[in-house]
Amino acid sequence: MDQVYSKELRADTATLLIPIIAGITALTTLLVAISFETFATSWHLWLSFILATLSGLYGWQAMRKERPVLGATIVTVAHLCIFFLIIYQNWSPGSMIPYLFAVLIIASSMFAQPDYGFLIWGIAALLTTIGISHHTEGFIDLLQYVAGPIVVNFFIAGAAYVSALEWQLAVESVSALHLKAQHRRDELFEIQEELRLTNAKLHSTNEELEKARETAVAERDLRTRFMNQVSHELRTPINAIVNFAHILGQGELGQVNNRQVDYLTRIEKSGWHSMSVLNDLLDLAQMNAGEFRLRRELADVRAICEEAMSSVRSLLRNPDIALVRDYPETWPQIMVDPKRFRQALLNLLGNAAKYTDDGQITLRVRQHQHTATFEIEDTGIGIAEEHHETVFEEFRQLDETIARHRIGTGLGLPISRHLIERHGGTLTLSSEPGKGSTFTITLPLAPQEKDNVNGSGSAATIAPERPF
Amino acid sequence: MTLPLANATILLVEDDPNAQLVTLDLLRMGGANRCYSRRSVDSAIAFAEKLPQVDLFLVDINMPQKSGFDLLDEVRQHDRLKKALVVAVSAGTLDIDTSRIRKFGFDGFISKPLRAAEFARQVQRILDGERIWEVN
Repeated sequence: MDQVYSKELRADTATLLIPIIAGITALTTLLVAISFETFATSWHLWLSFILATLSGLYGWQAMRKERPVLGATIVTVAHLCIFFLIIYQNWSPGSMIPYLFAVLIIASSMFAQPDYGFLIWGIAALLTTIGISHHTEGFIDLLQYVAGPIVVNFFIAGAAYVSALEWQLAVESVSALHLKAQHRRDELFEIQEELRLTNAKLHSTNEELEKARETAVAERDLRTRFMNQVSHELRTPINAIVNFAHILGQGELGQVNNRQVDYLTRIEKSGWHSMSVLNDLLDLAQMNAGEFRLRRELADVRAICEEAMSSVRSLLRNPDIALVRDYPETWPQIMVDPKRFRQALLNLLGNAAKYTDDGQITLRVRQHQHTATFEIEDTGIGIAEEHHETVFEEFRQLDETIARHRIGTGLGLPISRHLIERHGGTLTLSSEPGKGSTFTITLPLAPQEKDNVNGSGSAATIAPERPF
Repeated sequence: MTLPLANATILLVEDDPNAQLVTLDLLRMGGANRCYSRRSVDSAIAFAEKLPQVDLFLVDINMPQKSGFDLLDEVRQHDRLKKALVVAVSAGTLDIDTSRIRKFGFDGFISKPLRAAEFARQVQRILDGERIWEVN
């Protein structure tokens, strides 16, 4: 890569300089050729002119095809030939021509290889000797004329060699710098390209995600509409069943005997029971679809507990069962969805009522440092240790025979646990068969800001006492 | 503000015949004397215009053609009827329904199945100016 690049740079310079050198030669030979009167005495100059022009053209072509060594060699050899022709035909002692050509030859050979310098000198020296020997007689004579140009040529060749080396070094350092810059540029291009690709990928991923989201939303809407539809379609007939039974049971449309009243009451109760099953199933469907939305607020916990406790009275299996309220002096402040929290409490209390034949059901509320607990304790049949987790699984009812008597879907506990967990709390069970069960709801207390709201309220009442 | 159920004119808009019978019976059992019902929004509006006064519209949400929302719109834009209370009575009870009903400007919401023992009291509370949003 590095070498390729320095070659390129060398070719670039040679492409510029070789035609100039060839041009100088061609022009010089042409001008001199014109000054001669007859072609017989100037043919070698015309030939030189043609040689200089052709070598210039072919050398330049070679350079352009990125073969600088070939190009430089063509031009150099042509100049050597011209040099020889001129010395051979038309040399007189003290002529400056050898020096001029020496410079041109060396200049053109610079673009070939640094090593060429001395080779060219050797050839030029040989050619000079042959050329001048043509004009002189005797060895001393020859030495006298040849020594000067050869020595000068030698020094110029040395200078050419050194400058060619430096040229090479310069080319290389420039090319190294340039190469670095090019590397950097290539890297930048690569990075840019990568970024572009990543961007495109992200874009398409984004589009896919958006599509997936749209599909999910569409599916959810469809599901929600379907659940709404189911709810609507079941509630409509249940409305007719329970309320026609109620109207008849009230004796509004004529006397009904006790047995008829009993049956009508059973119809009404069964209708309401299927309502609660439907509600549980819809809750479960929403839970599983992850579409349970809570409307949390700083709720009146006391009112919710009281409401649940009074609602559970109608569910007791035995009117002698005591409902014990073990409430704290100050009620904990918690952020809950009142409707959902009431639902969880009612599920747990209803569950206690369902499995307790006698004794008591206690709702114990306590505030701790960071949490509030709500314990629903019963003296019912209890649950064996190995079932403590299964009761929270959907569609599980422990003892099928018992469950048959105590109707329900078995969804109350899993739904309650889900509701409590959605509030950031836990629902746990401790129980012993025969002794009863305790379900414990643990919920985090409301964040401090809420206390500050109350705090500022109390501060306002204190404020007038402060002197201004 | 207080209007006894016995003196109130109530117009039920309900397309389901069973629900119509049940609701009217429960209203009458609760002491209402002037209860009427129509099966569509258009006929209800036309009928209401002939009545000297309508205190309360009880309207089903899901009806073919015009819905309970349409009735609310038409009543609110009606010169004479706009002061009437409009309460949604619907079997659609999921959050998405109830929150829409709240936002739309109804004076209350009672879900179906109606709670026979409480229905008349719920209606009286509405007539007393309370806004109730009850899901049974």
